[in-house]
Amino acid sequence: MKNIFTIIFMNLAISTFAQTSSNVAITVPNIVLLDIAPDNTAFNLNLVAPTEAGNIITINPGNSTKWINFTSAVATGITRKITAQVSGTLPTGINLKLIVSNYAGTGAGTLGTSSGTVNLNGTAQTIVNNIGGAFTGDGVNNGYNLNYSLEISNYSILMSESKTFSIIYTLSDN
Amino acid sequence: MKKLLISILCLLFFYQGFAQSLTVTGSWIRTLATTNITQAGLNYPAGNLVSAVNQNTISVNSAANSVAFVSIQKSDTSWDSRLIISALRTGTGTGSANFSTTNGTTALTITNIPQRFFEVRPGSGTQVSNIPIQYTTRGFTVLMPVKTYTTTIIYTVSN
Repeated sequence: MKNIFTIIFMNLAISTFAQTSSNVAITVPNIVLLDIAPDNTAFNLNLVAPTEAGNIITINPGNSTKWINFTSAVATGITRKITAQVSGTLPTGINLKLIVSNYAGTGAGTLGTSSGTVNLNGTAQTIVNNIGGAFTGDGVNNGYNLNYSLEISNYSILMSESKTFSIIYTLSDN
Repeated sequence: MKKLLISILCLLFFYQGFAQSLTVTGSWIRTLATTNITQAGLNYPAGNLVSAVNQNTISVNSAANSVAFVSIQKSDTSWDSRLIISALRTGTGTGSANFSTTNGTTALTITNIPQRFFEVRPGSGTQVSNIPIQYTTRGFTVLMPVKTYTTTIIYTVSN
């Protein structure tokens, strides 16, 4: 009898409860955004003819005003790269050298690694690799600085000419 | 005497087993808009992803003139610790005369540990229904892997 009372009191002391549930599912999408800061306006790179016979051609300083900004969201196990290639025709006897800096800026994440120096041509070449989920920060001084300069590759085929061409940057999965 | 006590015991179990219950309708399924990032180089903005004001509706059954406490917690299936989800009661629901719904009108961060969310008093009836719940999530970043993040929101009613 005593045990039964104990059971009753225990039962009275225990609060009753019931449960139910609802699901929350939020999908984080794939993001691939790339641009050039401060803008993609054209600039000039020049060779200057010597004023004295026998002197070498002067190469004006390059241009390092442009930065690559990107935002990348990837699935686990995916990495990305940025490639660069020339669209158009370079002057004959000239190399277009691109020096890609190390990352700098206010971004975060897996920002990749610069390939350093490449001579640009019509074939896509990797300039930054192993990018994961990351954002560089927006504007100049964020991302990878691009330093363009000219080199004479072959004096014998140099011509007096002016060429306009584009450089195409692509951010894509490895 | 012994039979009487056993009968009372059975009644208590029966009564308490059916004294309170609750149901939840709805779920929250969303995909973040890629347009949230307006410029290359930027992360998701710090703002919140907010559900409809009645994303879930809850109905609570309890004895007339009783008080039922509704607690909330989550159980993660595939969640990221950077994501913070909170719940807010956006209305009182409907019920019989003198029903009331109190607390829960300030956003409560949902954790994996039960927390008291709001209280229901059914008044002269035994149910308060269609209590609307809104969810808010923040903490999204492109550093999180691309996938669907899921968690289960668990509601518990007790007296």
